[in-house]
Amino acid sequence: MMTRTDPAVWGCLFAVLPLGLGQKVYKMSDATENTVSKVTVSILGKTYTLEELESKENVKTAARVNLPNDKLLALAAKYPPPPEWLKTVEEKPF
Amino acid sequence: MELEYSFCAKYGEVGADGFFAIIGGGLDRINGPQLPVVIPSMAVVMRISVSPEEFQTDHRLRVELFDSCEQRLPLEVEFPVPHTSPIPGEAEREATFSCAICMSNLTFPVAGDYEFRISVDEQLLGITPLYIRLLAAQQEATT
Repeated sequence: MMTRTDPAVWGCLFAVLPLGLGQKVYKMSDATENTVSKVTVSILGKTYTLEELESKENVKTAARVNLPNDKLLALAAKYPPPPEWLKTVEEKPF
Repeated sequence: MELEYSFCAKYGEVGADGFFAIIGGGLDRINGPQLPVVIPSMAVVMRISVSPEEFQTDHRLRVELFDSCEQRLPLEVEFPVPHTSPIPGEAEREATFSCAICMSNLTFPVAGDYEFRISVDEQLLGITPLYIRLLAAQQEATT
């Protein structure tokens, strides 16, 4: 009866390994089906799948919205910055 | 259109204010334990400048992955670029479009040099390189 440490077993193994048996050689075609499992695109605070981006409406939403100055000032008045942001350069250099 | 810059990161997103939030930015080489090397999460972050003549027109952005033998991996990333608008009062100034393309379980079948090729409307804008190295090969080199 052969055991795990039987020299005959190790002899066979060392004879086979140099032939490259048991080693898998990967080719580019191996990755054909599964190069990537998921792709998303982050644009201006939202994340879209590629299918979602094909929709015109989603692309329109993703476009940068340039607000006119009066609306920006109204937004700034509604959501004022924290006081520490308004310190002068001398008080807060960064 | 011109590619201002692009780089790889472990994760990236573009906020509503247009700023990037990046984890593991500057990723340019990966030491994989075995083949194929599978990256659980990876992002290609880019900023493209758009000239005034290109505002409000349809453009398609495409990202392809090539290996060092000029063989394209089956990675299909193509989508329409959202329309860019002029900045009010600065109609002649270029605008920018930023995005982060996040990929899950990206698989590299062999070690070596790869590059993400970024193109708009079939015109190549730039390349982001990535080097995949086997950890075993690295250990052999150091011993």
